[in-house]
Amino acid sequence: MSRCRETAGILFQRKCSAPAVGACSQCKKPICQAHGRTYWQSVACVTCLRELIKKQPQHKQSQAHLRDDPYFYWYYVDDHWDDEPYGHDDYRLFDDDGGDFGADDYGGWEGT
Amino acid sequence: MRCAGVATALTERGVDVELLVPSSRLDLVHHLAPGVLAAGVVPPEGAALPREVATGLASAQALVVDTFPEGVVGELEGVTTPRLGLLRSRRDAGDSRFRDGLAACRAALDLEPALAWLDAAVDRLAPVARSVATGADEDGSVCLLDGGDEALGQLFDKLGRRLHALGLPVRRRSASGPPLIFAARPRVVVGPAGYNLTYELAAAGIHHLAIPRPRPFDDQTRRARAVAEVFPRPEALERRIVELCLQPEPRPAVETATYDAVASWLIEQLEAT
Repeated sequence: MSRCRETAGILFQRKCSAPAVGACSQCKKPICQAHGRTYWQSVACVTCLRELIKKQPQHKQSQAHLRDDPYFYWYYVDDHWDDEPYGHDDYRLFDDDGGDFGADDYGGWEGT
Repeated sequence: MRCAGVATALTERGVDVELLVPSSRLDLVHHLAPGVLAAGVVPPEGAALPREVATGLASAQALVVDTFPEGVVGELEGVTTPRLGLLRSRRDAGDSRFRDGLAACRAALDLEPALAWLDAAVDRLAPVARSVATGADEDGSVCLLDGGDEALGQLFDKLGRRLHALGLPVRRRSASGPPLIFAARPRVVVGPAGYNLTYELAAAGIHHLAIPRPRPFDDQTRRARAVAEVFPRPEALERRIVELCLQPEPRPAVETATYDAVASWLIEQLEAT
C-alpha cells in the first residue's frame, strides 16, 4: 500500500506516514484520510486547496466550509490581522540576557 | 505563598508556627493561611534584624527560612536558633554569602532539584505546588497573566487583540499577589516563570508558555527552559498558542510535591533536634 505524500501541517510541514486512501484530483499524489478534502465531486489535497484559495479568491467563498478546518485557519484570517507588528519593547521581552538576567534589579525583601 | 502553605500544613499537624512576612504581604498571608499566626515585619534596613523578631527567635525551637538561608540582607548573621532551609533555585548559589547561610543550616531541602542549581549535600524534594485548577472542565481558553508587570501587560494588550481577532477565547489576569485559582481550566497560560506559577501550572497539566522576567536572585530563564516552553520572538509564541488551541495536546507530566510533604520533612528535622 502506498503512503501519503502530503507534507502540509497546520503550522509546519512534516512528512506523513499514514497509508494513502486515494489520490488528489489536482496533483494526483497519494493522500491519506487526514489530508484529503472534498472538492466539488472529487477529493483534493490540502496543499492544492490552499493554493486555489490563495490564488483564486472566489474559491474562498465556494470553499467557505474550510474556515473551521484547522489546516485552513490562516487562509481565512482577516487581511488586516497582520497590520499591527510588535514593537521594540515587546521584542526585548524575548531577549535572552544570559545568566545575569535581573541580577542588578535589586529589590531587597520585596524583589525576590 | 510557599511558606503560607507549609505553615498551614504544619499547623494542621499540631506544630506551633509563627509566620514572619514583609508587612506588605500580610493581607495575602491572612488570605492564604487563615489559621496561621502571622506577623508582618518591616524589612530591615542594612543587616539588623528587627528587635521584636530577634526576641521571638530566641525562644523558638527552630527557624525555617525560605530561599535565603543567610537572610535577604544578611540579617540572620549571629542568630543561633537552629535553622532549617527550604531552598529554590538561586542564581547566586555559588556566592560565599549564600554558602555561609547554607552552612549555618542544620538541614536544608532543595525544592527544585531538577534544575541542578545547587552543588551541596542537602535533602531533595520535587517542587511544591497547590492545586489551581478547581473547575472540572477545560474551557479551551488562553489566559494572559502579566502579574502586574507593565511590560508584559503592554505585550499582552497586543497579543490579546490579535488572538481575539482570530476568534480564540482570551482571558487577561493582571493582578499580582492574590492566589491563582481558575474557575475553569484554561488550555494555555502565558506569563512569567516564577516558582509558584510555573509549578502550579505543571501540577495542573496546563500548558505554560513562559516569558521569563528579570529578578535579582531568581533565575526564571533556567526554570522556564526546564519546565515550561520559551520562545525567541512574540510571533513564535503566537504560533504556539494558535497551534495548541487548534490541535490540543496533553502537557507532559511534571513531578510536584505537596506542602504536606514539606511539613513531614520539617517535623522529621524538628524531632531530630
